[in-house]
Formats: sequence, structure tokens, C-alpha cells
Amino acid sequence: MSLEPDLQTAVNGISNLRITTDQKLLDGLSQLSNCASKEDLHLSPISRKKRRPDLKTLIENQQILYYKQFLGSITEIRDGVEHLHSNLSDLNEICESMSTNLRASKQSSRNLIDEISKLESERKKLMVEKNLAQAYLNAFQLSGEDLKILRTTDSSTAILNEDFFKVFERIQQIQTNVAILLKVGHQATAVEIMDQMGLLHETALEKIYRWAQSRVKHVENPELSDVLAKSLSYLQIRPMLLKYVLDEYCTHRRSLFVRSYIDALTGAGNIKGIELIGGADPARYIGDMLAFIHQSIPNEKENLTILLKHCNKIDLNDKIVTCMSTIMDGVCRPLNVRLEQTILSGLDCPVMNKIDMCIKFYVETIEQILPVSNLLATLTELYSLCHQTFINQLRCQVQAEVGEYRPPGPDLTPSPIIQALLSLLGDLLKDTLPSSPEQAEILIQLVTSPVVSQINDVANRLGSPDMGVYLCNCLNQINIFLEIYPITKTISNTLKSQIDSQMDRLSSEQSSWLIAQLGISHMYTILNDKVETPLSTVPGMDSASLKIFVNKLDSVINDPESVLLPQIYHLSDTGTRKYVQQQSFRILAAIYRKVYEAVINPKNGYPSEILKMDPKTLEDSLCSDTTEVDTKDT
Amino acid sequence: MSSGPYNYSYIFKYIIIGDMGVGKSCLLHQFTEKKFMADCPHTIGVEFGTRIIEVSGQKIKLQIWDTAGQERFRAVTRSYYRGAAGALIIYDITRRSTYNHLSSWLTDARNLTNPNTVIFLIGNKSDLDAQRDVTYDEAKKFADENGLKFVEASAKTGENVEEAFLETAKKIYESIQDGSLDLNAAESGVQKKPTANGARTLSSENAEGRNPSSCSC
Ligand SMILES: Nc1nc2c(ncn2[C@@H]2O[C@H](COP(=O)(O)OP(=O)(O)OP(=O)(O)O)[C@@H](O)[C@H]2O)c(=O)[nH]1
Ligand SMILES: [Mg+2]
Repeated sequence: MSLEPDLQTAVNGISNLRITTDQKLLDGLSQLSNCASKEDLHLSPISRKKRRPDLKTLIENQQILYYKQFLGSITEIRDGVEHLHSNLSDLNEICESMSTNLRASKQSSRNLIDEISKLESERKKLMVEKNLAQAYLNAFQLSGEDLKILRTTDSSTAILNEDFFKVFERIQQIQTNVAILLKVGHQATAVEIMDQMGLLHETALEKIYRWAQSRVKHVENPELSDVLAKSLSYLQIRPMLLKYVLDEYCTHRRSLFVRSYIDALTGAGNIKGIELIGGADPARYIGDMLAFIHQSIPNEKENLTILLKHCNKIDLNDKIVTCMSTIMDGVCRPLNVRLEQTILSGLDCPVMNKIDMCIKFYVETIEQILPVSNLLATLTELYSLCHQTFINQLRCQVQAEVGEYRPPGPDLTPSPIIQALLSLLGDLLKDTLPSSPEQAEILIQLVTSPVVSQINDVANRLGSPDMGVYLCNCLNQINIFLEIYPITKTISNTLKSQIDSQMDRLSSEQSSWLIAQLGISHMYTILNDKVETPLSTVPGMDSASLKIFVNKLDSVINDPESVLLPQIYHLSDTGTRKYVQQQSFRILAAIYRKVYEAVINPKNGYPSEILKMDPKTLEDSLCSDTTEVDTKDT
Repeated sequence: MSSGPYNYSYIFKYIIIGDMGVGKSCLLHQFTEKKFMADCPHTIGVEFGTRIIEVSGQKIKLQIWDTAGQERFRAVTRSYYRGAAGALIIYDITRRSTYNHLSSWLTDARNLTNPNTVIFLIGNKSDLDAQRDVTYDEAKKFADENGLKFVEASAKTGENVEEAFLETAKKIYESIQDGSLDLNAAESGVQKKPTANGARTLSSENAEGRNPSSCSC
């Protein structure tokens, strides 16, 4: 029964059991359920009873345990907090020290910044100084590279390159700069640099000079010509060096030129030489030689022009001409020998004349190209030699011919020597006249005057009409020859006036002859005597005499030639002959007119119709054919 | 540097011949300067002109000698034929007499040059067609009969001037190519330049000895 209440209670409990929803209660129960282990449930109720206080203890123990645990935990927390505290304290300390550090480093940063800015300004200052120094170096010193270029270049260098010339220009620039420096007053430095640069400058110049000298003969090489030209332009500041280089060049070209001249003369291999022509045609031989020389000039000129094209500090033209002269002068000796030999080899006058003109042409040509040269001097000398020789020779030949001159035969024809000399003169003039009228005049003089004086000499030994006829014949022959040449006016005029005076003399002789032939000289005297008595009563003027006169006149009109002086027939020139004849007929006509006037004058008592012809008709019939001849001749 | 003054491989010598006043100097001037000289004085003796041309890719320098047509210079000018590679014979299409003299010019050219010399006949003043005195056909026939090249040209307008000079050079060049022209003969009127790439070649002793450019100009 003891169980009953318990069970009762338990059943009651169960019956009153409601599903509790109180969470706290549920938690507590579930907590409690842990207190009893499974075995506890299997305990017998006695033991369970016995163990009932145990639950309380258990719960209390549990509680104590919890408290202990809690205490433990709290202790731990406290330890933790203490630890944290100590850590924090440490941290704090660290922080504090950090802060101190920071403060310190802040200070030092500030210091650093100060320092940096100080350094910066220092750096700037140094940069300026460095730039200054660089500028100084640039202005007054060569760079290592420059020096190396300078050092490694010499006359064996194939081609002086751009860099070398740049270095050279730098040196020159520095020298200009130093001059300024000197002016500004940095004496010591300036002098030092000047010495240094002077040395380098000389070295560089020397190198240019050596190089140019060894290469200058190759100006025709397209790769060298420009560099050579440039080199020479730099050498201008040392005229002597420039001169040496050009001397070298000229010597080289000169010997080449002489050699090519000799080659051209003699021919080399299968080349036909100028000298081959020499024997057959000396004038052409000389012409070809001189033409060869002339034709070499443009090439030399071109080379020199290229070589000196950058030279702006010298009289370029003068230099080129001087050099060309030096080069061309090489042929003077061989040329002189050959020309002299030819000139003195006793050539014919016409050939000499050709050579004379040829050399003269080249004297004039060369004078324009190389006015101061041995070549010109040589040619001028050769010209005068040639000219002298030629003139002498011509003079001698004319003299010799004239020496052979013989007086004329009865036909009064000119000596064949005149013709020979005139054809020689013609030969000479053919070449001379077109190019040198003055020379032609001289030649004409040289040939004609000895002949003319010889003709005069011979003529003077002849009797009167013979002399006139002979002179007319000879001088006319000369004059007809000269008339072809437009320049011979003075000589021709002299001859003409001489001929004219001879013609006048012949005319008067012919007139006298005619008057004598007609036997009218006394008529003429009577008419001029102003007789008072009627003329028909004067002997010699009576009608019978007049009749005879008229008959003679008729025969003259019928055959005018019949009353010519025999020598007049020998006048070779029909014009002259007619002129002389005409002059005499004019005089005859004039006499007739006087007679006629006297006859028709009633005071003279002539029968009418004694003179049928009036003077005009007579004059016309005598002189008309003469005018015809005149027009034919002119 | 390759465009320098010496950048050519050959030098050809030309002569220009023909009666006075036919326009020889004007043709030369037109060719070298590309200008017409309206009042050109008579040439005294000889004059000289030069120009570099190109034939088949080769640069050739022409050295041209313009001779005086006046009779009085004939003796002098004859000496300039020697060694010409090309001869241009000129007549004036408006003056028959200048055409009639061609055979005498041709005889001179044949006698005084060498067999390889290229002879070119030019009828000048083709711009003056209205005053023409010699027909094209007639001159062409003459040229053909004598184996000459022929054009009518005008130094005034420049017509055919370039062509005549170039054509002549071309023919000369052909003779060199086919070997009929002996370059070693100074008479040929042609010189070969030492070499274009030549510091080395030139400085060698043998090349120095005979610099051809200096010998037959
Ligand atoms: N209309 C015309 N006139 C020309 C031509 N060529 C030349 N002339 C004229 O002809 C004249 C003579 O020309 P030049 O060149 O002096 O003759 P050239 O042959 O050299 O004469 P020389 O030197 O005496 O032998 C000049 O007045 C020129 O103006 C041309 O093509 N047309
Ligand atoms: Mg001319």
C-alpha cells in the first residue's frame, strides 16, 4: 500500500498531465532527465527510494558542479582579461613608443626633405655647371671621338670622309671661339687652347694636304672628284699647300698630255699618227698638231673646274688658266722642234703661206684661252719665224723671177714672168684674202712692186710709142688680175693712173700721127692764125686742098684702123686701143668742125657744097663704134 | 656621288660640218642648252660643246666640235675631223646651194675620219617649210644612196635635234657592242672611262700610265 499513494500520485500526475508548453519547464525537465541515467530507470523502487535524496544531491551536486564550472570559467575569464589587460598595456606601451618613434621620424623626414631640397638645388647648380663645362668643352675642345677620327685618318685612307671634314670644321670653329675668349680676357686659357688647336689644325691640314696630293691625279674618278674638290677648298687657307697639290696635278697631267701628243703624232699600235701626213702635206701636218693641242684644252679645263669648284677664296678663273697653261706648256718643246723643222725645210711659198695663216689662227685662238702661257709664247715665236721665213722666201722668189725678166720683142707683149708671178700671187691670195685682207695687201705689194718697177725699167729703154704700148700692156695685165680682188684699190689705182697717163701719151701720139697722115697740120695752123683775107685764097686752104682732105676723111671713115700708129696694133687691150683711136678721132672731128665753120662763113668765099658732111655727122660716124666697143668692154 | 660630273662610261667625239649659216651652232646650242639663238654670229674656227646622254643605260659624254662653215676656215676645220666618232653634216632646207655642197662635205668626212665614223645628215630649219627649197624625198634619197642616216630638224623649235644626236650615239654604241669599233684606237673617237668604282683601280700603276681621257680629245 505504500506504493499506492506514489502510484496514485504518479497516475494522478499522469492524468493531470497536460502538454505543457512552458519552455522553461521543458528545459528544466530535459535537464533533469539527464541526471538520471538509464540504469536509474531500471532501479528497483526501493533503491529508487533510497536514491531519492540522491537526486537532490545530484541536482545540488550538479548545481555545485555548475557553479564550479562557472567559477572556473569566470577565473579563466579573469585570467583572460588580466592577460588582455597586460597585452593591452604592452600594446599601449608599444603604441606610445611608436608614437615617440613617429614623432622622431617625422622630424627626421622633415630634415630629409630639407636635405633633399638642398641637394636638389645643389644638383641644379651642378647641372648648370656641367652644361657650362660641356659648352666649354664643345666650344674649346675636341671630343675623344673627334680626336680618334683625326688620329686614324692619313694619306693612305681611301677617301676622306664627311666625319673627318666635320672634325676639321670643329677645329676651325674652336679657333674662332678662342679668339672671342681672348677678347673677353681669359688670356691664359685662351692661349693654351689656341696652341693646342693650332697644332691640331696643322695636323688636320697636313692630312688633307697629303691625301689630296696622293689622290689629285684621279680627279676623273667619280668617287674621288667631290672629295678632292672639298679638300682643295680647305687648303685655300694655306695657299702654298694648295699650290703644291695643284703643282702635283699639273705635273701629272702635263706628262700625260705630252705622251698623248707624242702618241697622236707617231701613232701607237694600229693608230694612224699625225706624222704620217707630214711629208705629203706639211700644212695639214702642222694644222693637225695644233688642232690636237687645241682639242685637249676643254678636257683639262673641265677637270680643273671640277677640282677647284669649291674654292671661293681665290681667283678661280685665273687659277684654272694658270694650271691649264702649265699643263699645256708641256708640249712646247716637241711642238717647237717639229714646227721649226717644217718651217725651215724650204717649202714652197703657197705652202708656207698656209702654214703662216694656220699658226696665226692658233696664236689668236690660244691668246684668248691662255693669254699668259709658254704655249702662246712658243706659237708667237714660231709665227714670227714662219712669217719672216715666208716673206723672205717670197721676196727672194720674186727677185729671182724678176732677174730673169727680158725686154719685149717687136710685138711688145708682156713677159711670161708677169703671168708666172701673178699666178703665184693668185695662189697665195686664195688662202690669205678671206682671213686676212691686210696680209693680202702686203703680199700683193711684195709681188707687184718689184715687177712693176722692172717693167718700168725695161719700158724706159724703149722708144716713145713702144714704151707706152708696152707699159699699157704689162700694167693692164696686172691690173686686170688685181681687179678680181676687192681689197686692192690703192695699188690698182696707182697702176690705173700710170696706165691712164700712158694712154693719154699714146692718144696724143696717135693724134699727131693721124694729123700727119691726113696732112692737115698746116690747115690747123692757118685756122688758128686768125687770117684776115678770105681763107679760100690762102694756099693749103683752097678748095682743091679741101677736096683732098674730104677724100682722105672718107677713107678714114671707111677704114678707121688704117690710120692707126703701127704700135697701137700691139696694144693687147682692145679697150685701150679704141680709147686711143677715139681720142685721136675726137681731135680730128674738132679740126673738121673748125674747117667747116670757116667754109660756111661767106667771108671766106668758098663755093657751097664743098663740105657735104656736117661736123656732128662726122663725129658720130667716127666715134659711134668706139662707144659700142666701150660698152662691150666694160 | 654617283651623279657626279664623271659619272659616264664613254666619251664620244662629234663634229658638226656644213655650209655657213645652215645652223650648225644653233643646233649645238639647242642640243646642249635647249635654247634657240636667234642671232648667232658666224663661228670663228671651231667651237666646243658637251653634254652627257644615256644610251642603253650607259652614260655617254658627247664632246662636240662645231666647225665654221666659212670657206676661209676650211683648212683649219679639216684638222678637227680626226678621231671623230660621229659626224653631223648639216644643210639648210631653204637654201638649195647648201644641199648641193653636200657631196663635198661628205667626201671630206669620209676622207678625214675613219670607216666606222657614223655620218648623220640633217636638213635644218624644218620650221621654215614655206621657204623650202629641197624636198624631204630628194634628201632622203641622197642619204640612202650614200648610206647616211637622215632627219629634217629645226634648231629653232628643237624638232628632231635631240633625236639626231642620240641616234648617232646609239649607232656608235652599237659598233662598240658588236666589236667593229676598236676602242684602243684613238682614231675611233671613243674613249672608255677608266672605271666608275675606282679608287683602287685608278691608283694601280698601270691604269695611271695611260689615262685615256686625256689623249684624244
Ligand atoms: N628659222 C630657223 N632659223 C635658224 C635655224 N637654225 C639656225 N637658224 C638661223 O640661221 C642663222 C645661222 O645659224 P648658225 O647656227 O650661226 O649657222 P652656222 O652653220 O653655225 O654658221 P657658221 O658658223 O658660219 O658656219 C642664224 O641667224 C640662226 O638664227 C632653224 O632651225 N630655223
Ligand atoms: Mg657656227
